[in-house]
Amino acid sequence: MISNDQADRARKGPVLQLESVSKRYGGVQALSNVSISVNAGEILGLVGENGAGKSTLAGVAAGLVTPDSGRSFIDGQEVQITSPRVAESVGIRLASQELQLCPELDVTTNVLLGHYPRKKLPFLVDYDAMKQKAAERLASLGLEDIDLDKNVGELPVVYRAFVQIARSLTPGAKVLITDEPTAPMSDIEASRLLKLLRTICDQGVGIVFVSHRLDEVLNIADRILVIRDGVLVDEMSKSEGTKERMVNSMLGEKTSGTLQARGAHVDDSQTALTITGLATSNGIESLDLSLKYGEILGVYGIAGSGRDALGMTIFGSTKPTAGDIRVGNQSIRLGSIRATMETGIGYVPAERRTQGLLLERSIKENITLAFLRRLAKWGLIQKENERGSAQNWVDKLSVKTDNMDNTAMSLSGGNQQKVLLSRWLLTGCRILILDDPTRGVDIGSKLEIYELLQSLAHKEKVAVMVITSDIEEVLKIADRIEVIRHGRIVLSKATPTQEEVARAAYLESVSS
Amino acid sequence: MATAEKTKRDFGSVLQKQGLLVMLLLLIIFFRIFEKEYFLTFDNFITILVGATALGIMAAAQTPLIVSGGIDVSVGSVVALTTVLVGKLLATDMPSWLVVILAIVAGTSVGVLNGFIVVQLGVNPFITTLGTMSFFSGLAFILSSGQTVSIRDDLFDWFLYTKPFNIPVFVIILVVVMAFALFVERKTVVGRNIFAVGGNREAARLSGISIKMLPLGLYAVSGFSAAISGLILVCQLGAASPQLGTSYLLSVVTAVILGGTSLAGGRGSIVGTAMAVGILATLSNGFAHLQLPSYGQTTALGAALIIAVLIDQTSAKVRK
Repeated sequence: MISNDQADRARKGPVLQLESVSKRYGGVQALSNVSISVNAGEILGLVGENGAGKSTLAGVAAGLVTPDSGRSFIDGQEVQITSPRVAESVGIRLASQELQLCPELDVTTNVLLGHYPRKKLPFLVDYDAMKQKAAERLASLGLEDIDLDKNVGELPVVYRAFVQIARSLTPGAKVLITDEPTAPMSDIEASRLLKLLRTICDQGVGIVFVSHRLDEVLNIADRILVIRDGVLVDEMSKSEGTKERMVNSMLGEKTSGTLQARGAHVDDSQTALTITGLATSNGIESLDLSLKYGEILGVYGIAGSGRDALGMTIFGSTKPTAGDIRVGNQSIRLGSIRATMETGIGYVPAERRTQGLLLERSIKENITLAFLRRLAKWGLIQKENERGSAQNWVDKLSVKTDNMDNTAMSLSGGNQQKVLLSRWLLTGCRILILDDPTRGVDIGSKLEIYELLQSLAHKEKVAVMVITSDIEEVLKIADRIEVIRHGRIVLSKATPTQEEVARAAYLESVSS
Repeated sequence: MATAEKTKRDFGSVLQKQGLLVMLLLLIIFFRIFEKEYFLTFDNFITILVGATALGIMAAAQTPLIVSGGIDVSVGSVVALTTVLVGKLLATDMPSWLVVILAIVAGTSVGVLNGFIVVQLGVNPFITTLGTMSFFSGLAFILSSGQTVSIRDDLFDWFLYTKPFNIPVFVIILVVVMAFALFVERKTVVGRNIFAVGGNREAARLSGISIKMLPLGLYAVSGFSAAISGLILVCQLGAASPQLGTSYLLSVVTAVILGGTSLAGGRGSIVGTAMAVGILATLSNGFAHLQLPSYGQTTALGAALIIAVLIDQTSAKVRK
């Protein structure tokens, strides 16, 4: 904006300082010795890869995460931010990734939630004052166009985010932390949100802006911090910042190519799956993809790239708006899970507990769930048949349990994932699609699952597609990598370097 | 570690089932103390089972429905509708076998309607069946003008008076229905899928299980069971009345919940339901012997239900 303005901002001191913050989760050092300071009237961009520690850092500032060590200061005074309540009382506000609003209540109530003006008589809410207060709050943010009487659930997603931000800006707000606020938004919506953040910042609030979208960060942040593996690795001012520099810092020495995709084993192999012109209403636009028997294809994309919708759509869970999916030469009926299963496609969803397992049922029942009809005669389950089939896969994948009749709940994350793999391997499927197969799985089981997928592909000649947001994962296990961005494939290569993958996923996106 | 968990889980479900058994035994001892002559005889045992027939059949159909995540509170009104239909149709000199078939078709249709509204139109199951309950209960009153008619018919009398080995046909029907339900629950693909759909709908769907046809079928079976129960009541009472079903308004769901089936779906058993039906039937039989007001039954039932659910929740916590 005006240079005067910026000079003015710089003169204001830091409102929030975190000093030498460290946090360990089990075997993972999420943050080590991180120090940041946020100035009043400044937007601080915070970028880093998945799992680099951005959200943990934001959580520490908001009192959601208790650090193992480190100190925090507000306006130069040391404070112990031990809970979200304390954070709020010292002026820190969090507008988190998931919207925390009451969709059935109107805008007025949501903006003031929990802070209603009272009448003199006890228990009575002063609705007139409430409405006026909410209107004032929205007006001060330039959001006069939001209808106060409308239910929040009826508002478009960007307006809901506005309401959320307006609600968090109660009097006394000094720092606003926003964690991926633009993830579910289109570019146009996102640019409105950025404008709002600028308005808030001009009122003297310090803003921490956590985002995956580098363009946005570059566009809005006065200062940018890059975090990698829990360590602050780079700091740049707005004028110094470039996307190249951010990506290089995010990846570190790995860019020199220490990690590289494995390369194809399968040039002569048959094509298993061909997708052409796939489009959906939830993020995929004209996507082409092919998968061969005997290979692991890694599909990599950041949040909001269309990655999340891909697996479900191929598997027939949601009907695409356009496109064609072929197994061999046969087109499959779109939008039908049964028909898709008949063609020999299996699918392991991302959310193991909510989409995959029957937690209260036995391991055996979980394994045979998708194949039970075939293990039965006239609808009667053939007990020996079922037990034998399940035991076979428990042994083959070495699921760690002493009894198949134990509940699925009793298993660790890695073993639960093996149960889901067994479910599909039992059906004899030749094409296996996995969404984020190692999410929330410990490192030991992670390697086991990788080896398993590799032996499936290379020895059993199964066509394996791994859809993931973990860049090291694709580089480690994939024979070929496709990168998805804005619902399209933007890179398709056998042995890309990490830098190439990251550039394709993050860079050259549409600037707002 | 896994073994410890297994033991805990077993302990939970054993507590649940033992709890019901203990409750049943206490009831029997209680009534035996106050009624020494007749209560603990074979004849009375059969009387209790005959009294439990209609409730038992409906509860056996309701159990898998609730396990799958649905519920049908309209069964009472389907009973009323069925009996009224039987009364009306028999009065037109229609052959009684045809009347029976039409009554069954009508009851099953109400079940299919419930299923259609829930599955296809996506209305909440409780609200749907609450609505159809009110609708068909009203319809039964309109059709009958609120009158009770007595029924004399050879076919119905045959069911009432036939007693192979001195056991009434109704008791045989009840045992067969319970055994069949247990068989479906334990041995068939359908039974397994019911637990899968109720336990984790999304996981079931992503494993290729039809999350529409299965519930639809279960609602149809529930309606069918209510029609059969209505016919049995017509036999037993020799009368058709729109008020017949009212006592089943909640007792069917109560029996299923008392038997340890989770209203949230995914957990439950026919064995539990059978025991709960036994408790309810013994309770009403005992109250009749002691010449206690029948309202006292309702009170005792309410208390028993809350205690049973408390036991269930406590054992669920123990499991975790």
